[in-house]
Parts: sequence; structure tokens; C-alpha cells
Amino acid sequence: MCGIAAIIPEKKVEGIGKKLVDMLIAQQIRGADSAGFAFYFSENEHYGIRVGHHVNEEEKVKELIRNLCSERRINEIKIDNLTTNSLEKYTTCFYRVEPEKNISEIINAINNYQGEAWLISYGKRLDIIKDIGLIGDITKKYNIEKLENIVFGIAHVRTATHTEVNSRNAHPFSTSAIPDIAVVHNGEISNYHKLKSRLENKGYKFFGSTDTEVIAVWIADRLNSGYSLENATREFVETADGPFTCVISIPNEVAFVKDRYATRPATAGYCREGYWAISTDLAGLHAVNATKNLDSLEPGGVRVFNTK
Amino acid sequence: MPSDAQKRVGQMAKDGSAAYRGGATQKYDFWEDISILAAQVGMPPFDSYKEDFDISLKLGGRYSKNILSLNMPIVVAAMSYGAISRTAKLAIHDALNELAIEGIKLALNTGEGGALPEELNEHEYNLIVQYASGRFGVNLDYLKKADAIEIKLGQGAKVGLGGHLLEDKITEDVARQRQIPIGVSAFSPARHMDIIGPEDLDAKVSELREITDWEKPILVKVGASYVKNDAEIITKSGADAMVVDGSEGGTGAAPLVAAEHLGINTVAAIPAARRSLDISIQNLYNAIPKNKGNVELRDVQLIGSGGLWTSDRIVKAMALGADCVGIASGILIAMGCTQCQQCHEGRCVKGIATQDQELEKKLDREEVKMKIKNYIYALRDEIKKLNMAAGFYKIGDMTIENLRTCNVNVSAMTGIKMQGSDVIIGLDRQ
Repeated sequence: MCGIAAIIPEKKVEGIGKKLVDMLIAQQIRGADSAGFAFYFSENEHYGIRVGHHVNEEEKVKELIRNLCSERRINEIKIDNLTTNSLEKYTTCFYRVEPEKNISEIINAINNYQGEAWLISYGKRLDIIKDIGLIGDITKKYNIEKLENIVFGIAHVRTATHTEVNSRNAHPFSTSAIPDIAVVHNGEISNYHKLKSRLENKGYKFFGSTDTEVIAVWIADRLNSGYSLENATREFVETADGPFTCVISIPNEVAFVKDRYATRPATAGYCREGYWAISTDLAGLHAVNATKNLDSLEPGGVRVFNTK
Repeated sequence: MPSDAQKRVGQMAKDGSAAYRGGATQKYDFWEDISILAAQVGMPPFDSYKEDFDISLKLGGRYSKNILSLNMPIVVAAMSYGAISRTAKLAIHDALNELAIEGIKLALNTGEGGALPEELNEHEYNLIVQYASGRFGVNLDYLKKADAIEIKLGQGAKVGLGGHLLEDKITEDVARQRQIPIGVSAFSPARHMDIIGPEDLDAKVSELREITDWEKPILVKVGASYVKNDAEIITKSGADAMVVDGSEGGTGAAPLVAAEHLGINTVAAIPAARRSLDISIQNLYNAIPKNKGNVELRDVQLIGSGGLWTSDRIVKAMALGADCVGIASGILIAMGCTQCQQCHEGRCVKGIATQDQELEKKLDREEVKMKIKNYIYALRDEIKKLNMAAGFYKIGDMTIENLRTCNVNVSAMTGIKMQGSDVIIGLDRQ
């Protein structure tokens, strides 16, 4: 029981943050545990890295990243230090790093960090913001509606089924295997233990135990092998088992995919203002007026939307 | 009442040599203590009455050019001509051929006694020929006509011993087939004369690859004992698949003490083999230089066997890590075997495990063919139902995480979580 939202413009569209918030509010009933957004901004010269950690680890991780960048220039921007909720023990920090060659050292350091710290997202365009609570509160807390320069984005409200409710397990998910990838997902990859162990054998790092992270890493692995997003996603439908509908985004492309029985709902619709939207409930499409050319996909279907 | 051990002493005092028996060991039934988790609300079950289930399997292809395609992850495991009668062999052959024509293609392992001409030349199913220490029936034709080759290092019922075919069952025909003398018990060697260490297995796999132009998948079968080490060696040897045969496996004849006390159980062997194969592959990945880019290594497939007679055991074995299972005694029981454990005497009243012409006539080839087919249909149906209820629409996706047990011993042996508490007994899984 989760809700997916995506806004994929064909040309420049303003207020994407607001549109995604509206779509999620319309679907709040589908999930009230946590919510999250993956925003793709216009291309940046420098890498942005968002790291999550336990409150107690925050200073240590900052020190680590500072040290790795000490001899080079680093422009460290801490845009948020969650959280207002007293139950939540996790915080996140966003770093903007230059020059580019530092990036793999930092990613390796986070991959190998002994303690409760993990990579949320990294890349030249992507930032993922996620937290526990209701969508209205999260929107206010992070000023989502005011964010500028968003080119496209995907979002999610979550009802936790298998893992704990915390910002760490909230969607969207990304991976350290490849920059700028985000996944939101409704359903369950029932063979995720199997897929995960195979990817772990290949040396990929997992930061959590959710099945959605497995999708991100699996797709990243295929993209690393030279697959297009469409081919990777088609192979994923053949490989994965169980009921799932997911939206996978990389720069300039968003894939929309359903399992072979199309067990979970979701529909794509077009708005005359010039964008596609994908939503689990039709209410989400109504919220942003994207009700033309509706496409719910064939069972096992894959559709890739192009954007800028 | 004299105890079993007491009876054995009496027997030993009378005979002066090891007692034999046939059939399968049924000392433990650990499978009964394992349950499969069903899907409910977090993930819904699929409907086995209305929706399709993909039950096919691709076997081989790690280094072989050919990949076997099975419509059900079942190999009819090794039962040699000699151990069982020609009629029994042919009934199985007929059943598998008909199933293959109906679209249910399985695989048949010849066993170590060589292949019958019908099996070699008229098989619609996948034929796996066994390359055992006695080399009975092995020639170029045998290797070339097979779909896959299995190097048999040992079998679960009597790990560490070679094959036994006692003199009563060695008729003229069996002797000709195996190229052995009539009237003398045939004991094949306990080890291959040219495979006495890990490097020799490597060489043997390469040799068979060269002989068959790298076409045929090569399987290596071991009896379950030092499973972890054997799995590592098999991974390094370059075999396509490992066959691990637990001690519940049946046999035509074995020293009683060996059948009862050598080797470990299938339920423990399969997850141990799977973990070790995974780690071995992980080590191979780690050994690849970083600048080589994204290299794809194919997994070593695992075929589990030994006492896997029913659909629940098959599904559980697959969840524990087997890609495919071997069934032998199950097929015999479907044919009417009563597991009287007298196979070694060659006086099987059902006409299965005998070479006596009169007894063999009791086996109606048509009738048992139907029974085998029905058994396979039923297994197929039940495997489908269990998987779909657990939330899967493809075979081979279930893992140990989808099982629970009510037996602390099973949990400690396998790593299956306990029912309710989700605790795994014991810590070190390596």
C-alpha cells in the first residue's frame, strides 16, 4: 500500500515540487508512514552527495568527508539537519564537492564506513529528500514547494510492510553503484533475497534491507554493463518476481514498469501544459490535471518517458 | 525385544562380513519440521487456479555452449541398468519421452551402468550420462549423444564407497552392457583412479570439455559430507553445476553400516552447498582486477537430491538453495516399490530392482509408465500451488527467508529462522 507520483515534463515546466506535493496529498491515504522526493535539477558542474547517519555519527562522518577533501577545494553546504520529530534518530547532510575526481574516494569511504551512516544519493543532478510523517508537514519542513530549478522528479508516500518506519527506509532509493538514479516502488519484489545475494556476490554495497534498494542496484548494474534504461527494465521484469509497480529515473529518462500480472495499480497521464504524470491513484492525476492519453500499461509492460 | 544394535551383532557373528541392504534411509524426517511462509496482505498470493506459473529451468551455460531447457526443475536421478531391471528403465524412458512430447521436458540421469540403446538414441528428454569411477559403458558415442555429463564422485547413500552390484544381479546382458565378467560382484572403485585431488577434478572437467567441444554442460556429483570444501573446489574446477546427494538417497545395494552412518542429511547439505558456492563466486569476483570493468560471472548451479520425494520437500530444497532437484526413489515408489530394502538381493517382487526374467514380467511397462506420469503431473501441480501461495509466479525465486522451522536442530543446521520468533539458532553460518 504505497503511492507513487512522477512529473516528467516535455518542455520547461514551473512548480514541479508543488505538483508532486499535490499528487502526494491526493494519495495520502495510500501511505502515512513516510514520504520522499527525488528531484533532478538542471545539470550542475559539481557533484552533490547526500549522506544519512545516526545522530551520534554525524560529526564523525563530516570529519571524514572534510579530511578526504582537505587538500582540494570543498564547498560544504549543510542544507538540513533533520529532524523535528523526537522519535527519529537519523539526520542527513548534503555536500557539494569539487573537483569531480574526489567523488569515488568519498563514495568508497561511505561504502566502507563502520557505523550507522549511508549514502542517500549522489550525482550532478539528483537530490533525495525523505522523512517520516505526513506529506503536509514534510513539505513545510523542507520548503519543497519553494525549491527552484527542478527539471523533473518522482515521489512516494509509504505504508511500511516489512521494515521499520524511519527516514532511512523511506522511498525514493538510490545506490552508490551509479550516480543519479532513483527508484520508487509500490509492492514487493518477492525474490529480492535471491537478487540481492547475487548482487552482493558481485561486490555491490547495500545500505539497507528493503527490496526497493535491490531494484536500484540491479538496474545500476545493468546500466554499468551498457544496457539502455529500457532494456535494463525489460530484463528486470523477467527477473523479478512478485507484485510490483515501480518508477525508475535516471537523467533524461524515466521508466514506468509493472509486474507480469499488473497486480498493483498506477496510471500515466498527459497534461496539455506539456508534461506526463504517473500516479498510483487516479486522484493524483486529477490533482495536476494530467488526464489525457491515460496509460495503465499492459501486464509486464514497460514504458520509458524522455525528458530533459 | 532385542535392539537394532543387538540384532546387528548377532548378524555379524553369523556372517563374518558386512551386511548389505538396498533402498533409502529414513532415519530422520527434518523436512516435516519446515514450513513455507504464505503471502497475505503485505504481498498478495497469486492464484494457482487462474494464473500462470513459470516452472521452467535452464541448466548449464556457465562454460558450456549448450544450455539444457527443462520444463520442470526435476532430474530423474541416477538409477543404473543392473540395479533396476530393463523393463523398469524402459518404463521410465517411455514416461519421460511422453511427458517431453506433451511439453514437460525433464532430464534423466543414466546412472553408472551405461545407457540403454533406447535411452541413448531415442530420448526426447534431456539425457545426462554418468561418468563414474567404474567407467561402465563410457565411450565416445555415450558422451557425444548425451545432453550433459555428470562426473560422479560419490553418492549420498554411501559416500566414500564406489558402486555395488552384487553377483545375483549380473546377468549376461548386464555384464555385456558394463563390460564386466558374469557372476562376480561388481564393485566400482571408491575414487576415480585419475581424480584423487582438486587439481585432478579441474583436469577432468577440462578433458571432458575438450572431448565434447565445450558443448555439454558438465555436472559434478558428490555425496554430502565436506560440502563446503567440495563446493569451493567444484566452483574452481569450472563445472557448470554441482550435484549434492544427501544421505537419505537410495541405493541398489550398500553395506548397511555405510548406508546408515556415512554422510550428512540433504536438508543440511543443500544450504551449506549454496552458501559455499555463493562465497566461491564472490571470491572469483574479488579476484577480477578493477580495471576489467563490469565482468559477468555465471553462478554454479546446484542440484540437490536425496529423499526429495514429495512436492513440499522439493519446494523446500529449492528454497534452501537448489536450482533443480533429483528424484530417484520417488519414481520407484510411484512404480510400486515398497521400500522393503532388499534391492541388493535381486529378488524384487515388484520386478523393479531385479534381473530375474520371471520377476521382471510382473512389472507392467504400460501401467507403471502411467503411474510415473501421474506422479510428475501431481508434483507439478503441487509445486505450482505452494509457490503461488507464497507469492511467486516463477520457480526458483523462493529463498531460505521464505521458510520457517519448529525444530531448533533444523534451524542450527540450515539457518532457517524459527517460527514466530524469527531467531536463527547458532551464529557462525560458515
